[in-house]
Amino acid sequence: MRITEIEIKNFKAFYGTYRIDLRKTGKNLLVYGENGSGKSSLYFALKLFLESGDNPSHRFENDQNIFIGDPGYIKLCLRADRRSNQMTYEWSESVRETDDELIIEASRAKGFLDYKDLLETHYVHRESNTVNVFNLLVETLLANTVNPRTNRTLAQDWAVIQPPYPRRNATSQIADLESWIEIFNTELANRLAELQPKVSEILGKFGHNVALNFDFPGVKYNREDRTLDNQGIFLTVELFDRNIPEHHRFLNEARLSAIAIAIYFSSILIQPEGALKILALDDVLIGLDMSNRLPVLDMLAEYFSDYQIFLTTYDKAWYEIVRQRTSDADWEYTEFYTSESNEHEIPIHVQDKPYLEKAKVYFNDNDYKACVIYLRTAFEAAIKKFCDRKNLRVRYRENPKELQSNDFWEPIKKMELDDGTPFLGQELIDEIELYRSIILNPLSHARIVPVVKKEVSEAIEAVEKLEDKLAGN
Amino acid sequence: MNKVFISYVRENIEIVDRLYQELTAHGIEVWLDRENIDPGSRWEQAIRRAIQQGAFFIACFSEEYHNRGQTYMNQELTFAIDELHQRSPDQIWFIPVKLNECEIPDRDIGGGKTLQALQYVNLYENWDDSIQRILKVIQPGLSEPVINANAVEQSETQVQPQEANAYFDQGNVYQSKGDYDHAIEAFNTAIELKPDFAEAYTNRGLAHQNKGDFDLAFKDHAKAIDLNPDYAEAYFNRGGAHKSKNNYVHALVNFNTAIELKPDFAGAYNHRGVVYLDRGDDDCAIADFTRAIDLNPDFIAEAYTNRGLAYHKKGEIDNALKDYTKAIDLNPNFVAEVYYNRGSAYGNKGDFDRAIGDLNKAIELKPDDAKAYSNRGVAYHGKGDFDHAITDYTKAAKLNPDSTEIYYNRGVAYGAKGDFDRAIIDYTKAIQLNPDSPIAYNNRGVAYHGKGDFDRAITNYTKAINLNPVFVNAYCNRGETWLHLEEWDKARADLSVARKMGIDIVALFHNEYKNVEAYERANRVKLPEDIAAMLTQRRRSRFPKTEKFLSADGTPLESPDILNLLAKLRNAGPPLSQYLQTRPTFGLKTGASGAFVVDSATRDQLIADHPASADILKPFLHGRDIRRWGVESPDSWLIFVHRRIEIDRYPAIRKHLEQYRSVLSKRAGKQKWYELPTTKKGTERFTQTKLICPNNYNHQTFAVDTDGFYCGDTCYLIPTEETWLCGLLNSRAVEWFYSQVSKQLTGDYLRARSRHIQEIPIPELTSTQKSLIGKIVDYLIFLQGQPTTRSGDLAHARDAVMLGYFERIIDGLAYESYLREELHQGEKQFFNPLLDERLPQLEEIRGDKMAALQEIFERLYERMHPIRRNLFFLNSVKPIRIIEDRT
Repeated sequence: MRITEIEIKNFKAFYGTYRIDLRKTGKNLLVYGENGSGKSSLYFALKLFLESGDNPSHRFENDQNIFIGDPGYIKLCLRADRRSNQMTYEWSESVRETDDELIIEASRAKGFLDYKDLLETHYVHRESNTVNVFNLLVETLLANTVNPRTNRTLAQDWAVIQPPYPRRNATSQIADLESWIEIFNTELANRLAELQPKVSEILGKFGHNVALNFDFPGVKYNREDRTLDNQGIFLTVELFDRNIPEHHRFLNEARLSAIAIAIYFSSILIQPEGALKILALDDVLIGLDMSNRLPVLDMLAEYFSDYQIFLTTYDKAWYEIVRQRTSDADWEYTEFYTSESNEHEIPIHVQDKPYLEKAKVYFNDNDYKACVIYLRTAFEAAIKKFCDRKNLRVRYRENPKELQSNDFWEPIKKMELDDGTPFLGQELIDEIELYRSIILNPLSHARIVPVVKKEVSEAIEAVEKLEDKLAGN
Repeated sequence: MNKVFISYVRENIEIVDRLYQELTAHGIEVWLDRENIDPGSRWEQAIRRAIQQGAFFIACFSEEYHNRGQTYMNQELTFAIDELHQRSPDQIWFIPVKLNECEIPDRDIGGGKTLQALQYVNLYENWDDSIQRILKVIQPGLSEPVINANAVEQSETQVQPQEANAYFDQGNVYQSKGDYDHAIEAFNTAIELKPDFAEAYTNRGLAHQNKGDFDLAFKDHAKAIDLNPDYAEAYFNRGGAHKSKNNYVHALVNFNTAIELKPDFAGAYNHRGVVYLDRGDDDCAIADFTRAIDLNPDFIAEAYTNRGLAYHKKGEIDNALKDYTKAIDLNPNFVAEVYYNRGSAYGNKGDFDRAIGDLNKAIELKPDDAKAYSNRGVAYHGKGDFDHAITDYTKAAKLNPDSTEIYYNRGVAYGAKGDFDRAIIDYTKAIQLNPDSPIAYNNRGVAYHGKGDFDRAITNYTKAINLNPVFVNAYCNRGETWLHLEEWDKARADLSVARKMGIDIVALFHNEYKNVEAYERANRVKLPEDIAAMLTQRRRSRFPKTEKFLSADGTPLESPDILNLLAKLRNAGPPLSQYLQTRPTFGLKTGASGAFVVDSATRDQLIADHPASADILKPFLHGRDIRRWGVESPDSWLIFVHRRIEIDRYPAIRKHLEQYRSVLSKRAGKQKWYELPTTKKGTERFTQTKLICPNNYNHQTFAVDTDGFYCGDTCYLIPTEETWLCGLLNSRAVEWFYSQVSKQLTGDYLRARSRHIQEIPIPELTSTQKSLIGKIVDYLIFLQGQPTTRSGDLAHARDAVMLGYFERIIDGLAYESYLREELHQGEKQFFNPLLDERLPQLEEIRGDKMAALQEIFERLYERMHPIRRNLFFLNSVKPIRIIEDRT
């Protein structure tokens, strides 16, 4: 069972209707997106859509795009395989078709991790020379794993034993509390024991020849002080058969991030699978250095080959690397850009090259703001692709994210024909330069520029000409 | 002249003399020796005068007093009771004392009370404490400030702090006696003597406050604060004055300051708690009362009462009950309100007998409280005793003619008795008082329907529906009335709305009319086929026709999903009692378990003393010894002396029981003093294989007992060989069903009560399926008895998980039994995959049973095993989501 199409309207950062086509085979999706571009909104759209079935208290309205009066929706199309019928599920203020076995099961077995979940790794090891990962595991990495005994998530089991605690003489309530604590302890201890070999195996893929141990003494209720003591899971790492006394040196942030990802993957891999298997990682890999990112791709291929994977990143270079290393047959690639109109940011997503077409559609709808964004994107995409194809020397920037459209435009502009005349022709260059300054300049959206219809229409023509020219060569 | 008069009988002279010594040792003058009065000197008058002038009257009751035919004491009591009529009821004057175990005579003291209503002192139980209690009552009334008359004269010229203090103390004594005018006078003098006497100002303020002179009170408190800005008590008193005037914000500010100045000021916490309570901030109130209790003040009973009230308001009835009980234990004659509160809390829990007991007490202490009558009526009502209920409602309505609820409830009671005319009058009255109550209209509709006045019934139901468009019962009722009017379309419409909203109309209809044919015969009518079809084919079930009493606001409707699911579970099979063809029973009520239940040391001794004792010493269980699946081996033995036993064959036992003879003789029933209230025949229900559970429990706690334990009345027994039922009864499906049903039957509180167990539906299963459940029940009984599954030692975490996992498998099997269709729709099966496993019976396992079960567990727990998967994804089945809802 795979997702073949996602359609989102007026949800979180999405303004208007957006469709992402994952083809009949339900390909994986790689998303590049600027911050604020709706990349994370896509992640949350999927997450909340899946969770809404089992959690009716979360209402679509809560995340409806706040600038919009028109009600929105999220629709997912699913297919068991390319030959079977497509089923559409909708979640909106008025329709809740996610209350379905398939969706609820997908939610229970899903893997959704975002970069914020890993921020905790920056704090854990600073305490002392023991690494206490209790909060990281209980509140984040294992929070949504299910206790087979209570049929609740670990986070819910944990919530049950939070304060307020009973008074000292309330013996039956204390006994109740302690029995819940025992269930929590035994389940967590058992889960850690199950995880341990899998985590070590996955860490091996990162090139860390280590064995990882969790030391979990069990939380304990202190009747005297009415506190929950022993909130600790201590990591011990054996490296090349040597015990490392000071873990915090070995366990730098990058390694700890890798360990965290390994634990998260393992926690999914020890639970049952549903029919619809989704793994979504929102910017998770940015915490890793490049040498640790590539193994993750191999891991996804090895362990999650039957999952449908959604990867997002704001790192353009990484996006390009992943693109190169994955196959078009299994992956769709899409880019999200952002713009600021008078009122709010508009995310734009670009799948393949419909952007100039999109720009025209918005132009015809008299929505010049949106049109300009697509136009700019079309322009950038065209010049980047051309540079790539022609292997033009692009100005080196230490951080590829800082590459600007100018870096691509300049070499193209300077390209000459054999006779020394500009490759693009001076007329086109002048035209593009003109509109770059007022419309196509990505910085232009920082200030509010009144957009005149005529200018926009001429800019469209210019970009169209440029596309033709570049495509023809 | 302040003297204490002691009235007694001659036989008790020794002990009375001791009392006399104690009191005089504390400087109290006692009038005791009536023998000294000259017989010729008009004895009667002398005694009467002594009693009248006595500051207190102590009456010493005893067994000896009761055995006397004639005694002076009776005469003295008559005088004393006459005198009691003259005195203020607020102040204790007459102190009954029990010298040994005896009754206090029920002599009338007016106001519908007898001597038994007075607080008495038990001298024979704890002498010193009792004396202290007597002194506590007597001494403050006797103390008069020692004031040096000369000193007062000197005060004109010189500050005399000591004299000022003496007047201050005197003022406090007056204050405590409720004599505020004298108190104010004394404080005035104290302030004159010492003009910066902050304490005297605020206490005078208190006296003004008690008199209702708030302006003067505020002035005095302000002055006290002026004189001493850090004087916590003055803020506290001012807060109290604001509170009395309902200036809650001012009260809070003052109490806060008092607490800030004196963080261990228990009284301030208590009063601030009351303010929070009045403002509806229950949690803050509870925190403050708890603080007050922890600080252990004198008025701890009050703090417990208040906290009980706060819990009660929050709906935490068990906590409320604990606090009320604590308050009553601390001070049995506290106030009517505590009994009223506790009675109401018991009522909310459905424990009507206890509720009535407490409300009786409340009414006795405060005979004009409409609420107490009304709630006692509700309790009688809950017991099904409509006549008493109506009497109480009537009394309540007389005392408080403006309460909708009382008329409404009386209407329900009349309706239940079939007296529809009176019911209609009451509902009409309720509607007049509150014209927006859909439920009153609905009920009036039911009453009209009962009278056969269908048109009026329709009008009323319609009104109810207009007021609350999702009022399911009204649709259902109106549909039924349309049937009688032969308005088929309308009937069809209403009934399908009711059905859609989750009402089991089939069950209702069958309850009322047996079946369609019977209805058609009785009403000489032919129902249209589709309507007849709507109303057939389902099993008997019971749903309330009228709304439950207690809530007159029309809100208590369950969601249709829940009602539907309940109906579905009920329809899965016959109720337990019908399935087993027997009714579950309570264990044995010994009436004196201290005598009949012994530990093994005592048991061994009894057998050593005489070997025949062994024949009638039986292993014994209390409810608290029962665990899920098995029992905690208790160290208890029952001396089974059934009726008509030849006790002389068991001399050691007889000797043992002899120690308790006086207690044992007082038990109710016809048995001899040494006998249990049971015959020898009654033993079979203990010795045969049975399921047992504790009388009260929060989670399903059934165990299989094959060891023939005898059980106390805290246990509930289901005699059966079908031990698989233990699995079913411990499942979450049954736990949910049961909590819902007991909620419906006994109010809104979840604690399950075993007497409704017999209503649990037992789904229809094949013998193979039952034996599969039985097999896993056996595993669980075995695992429950293994130390590693319950040690909490994380080295054995997997064993604990194994126990939990097998319990989960039982849950899965129970769900499949009750909700076959729903589970199979999502391809969730438990029976078939488990049957494929060909699991061994526990006793078939040779060698290490634990290792064998671990191996089975590992197999079934494997990531993609269908059992593991199906359990993991159970939450995708909607009814199970309702049952396992995390709230």
